[in-house]
Amino acid sequence: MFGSFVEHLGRCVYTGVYEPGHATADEHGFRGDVAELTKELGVTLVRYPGGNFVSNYVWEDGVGPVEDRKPFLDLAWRTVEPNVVGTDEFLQYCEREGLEPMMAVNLGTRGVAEAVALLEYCNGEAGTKWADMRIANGREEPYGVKLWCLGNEMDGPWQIGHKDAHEYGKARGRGRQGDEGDRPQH
Amino acid sequence: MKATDPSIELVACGSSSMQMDTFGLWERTVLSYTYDIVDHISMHAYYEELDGDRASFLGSGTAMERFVERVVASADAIGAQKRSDKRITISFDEWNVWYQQSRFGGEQNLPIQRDAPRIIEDRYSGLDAVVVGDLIVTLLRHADRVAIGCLAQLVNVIAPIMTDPEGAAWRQTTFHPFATAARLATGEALQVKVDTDTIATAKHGDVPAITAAATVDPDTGALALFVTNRSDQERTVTLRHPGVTARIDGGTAVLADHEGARETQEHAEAYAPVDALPVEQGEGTITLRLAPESWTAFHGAMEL
Repeated sequence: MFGSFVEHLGRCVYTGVYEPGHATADEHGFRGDVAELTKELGVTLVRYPGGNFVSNYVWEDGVGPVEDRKPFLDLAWRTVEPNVVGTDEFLQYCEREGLEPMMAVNLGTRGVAEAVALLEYCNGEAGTKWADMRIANGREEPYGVKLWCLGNEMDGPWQIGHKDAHEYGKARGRGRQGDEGDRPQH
Repeated sequence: MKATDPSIELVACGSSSMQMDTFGLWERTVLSYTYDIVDHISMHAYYEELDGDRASFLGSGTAMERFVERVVASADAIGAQKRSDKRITISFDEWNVWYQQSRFGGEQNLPIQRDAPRIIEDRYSGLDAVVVGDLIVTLLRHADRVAIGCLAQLVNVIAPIMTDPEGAAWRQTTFHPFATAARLATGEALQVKVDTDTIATAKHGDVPAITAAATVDPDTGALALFVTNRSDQERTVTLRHPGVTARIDGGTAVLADHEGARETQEHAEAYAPVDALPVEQGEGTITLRLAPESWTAFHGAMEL
């Protein structure tokens, strides 16, 4: 119930939770004063990385060696995202601070395949492409992220990749239940 | 995704707000496709004081309550149609006070920016803090169906915590009700019946003058009671707990003000919760006094 939300928007991440070089920053670049206040606030869970941002986020661009990552123009908030903080940085921050992460997947510009890849990157055991990418990026143990948001505000015309309810519902992947799915009664 | 990892829980997008044209139909249509595989449906809601309509703004918790009940009804309608015993719960994964209509010019009007620009850095008032407290009352009252709540957002962007680059971090007014409730609310939410008069509002019709939620920790007996007084008068509330031994040990209140948004760090930090007005313990009753336009968190104990 006492969760919060960190989106790549404005200064929530950069100069918010994360600011290497800040007097209170830890060795990972996260601000200690903000972490302290977050603890005092009593936050137990954090949703990430958006918000409208997630609907054009390419999570693969935010993992791996930081020096190899390229910035991209986030069209939701019209801001250049440097890709310095990504999935690993966020999930490891949550672990250090005792926060439960709630991850959102991009169902705006992307689909089920990329969502499953991210899930496998986060939770998969060694021996598959995406889990092995995580391991190659220095993280052996799966993160075990339990909560997953299937896109963000997909009903909103402002949302990148906005869908109507039928398109969105049908994006569930396999195992759709025939007539209930094809002919919802309302 | 569940084929990849069956232990996960999935949140389907609900409506972006109750004001969406497709509200209700969206929930039912999406769940008609996904009822068997999703666990939660999302809700997002932001409230603000518009055109000086203080009463409607103070009644925001009632608007949020109606929104929750309508989403629950929509989800349960699909459950009924499918003759399913499964209950979809709510992920209220964005809620807050946000001056979206009155201060934010819309994302489409933002210039292209880089280097962590200042976007939507709302500053808050004491009145905003009371409304945030009351929204927490609504969420706790519906904890049977609201499984997840996320105050949006954590830092700088409509946030309880503000920072200066290379500088300080500080608490906004809205920090206090959240922190107080998060500290005191433990264990299980109780069903609290509130008998109260109502206040007429332009936006929501009649809303209760007093709202309340309570939690009790079954292991320790720790009791927390959260009460909002939306009226501009001090109010006395009698808490009846026949057959149950309970006591209130004290409380903390956040009070509304008329100062508007506290723009500076100094002004924001000058805002702090105050001690609750004294309570009177009786036989099976406790009498509480509530300051005008206030949200109070009482703590005590209950014998279970």
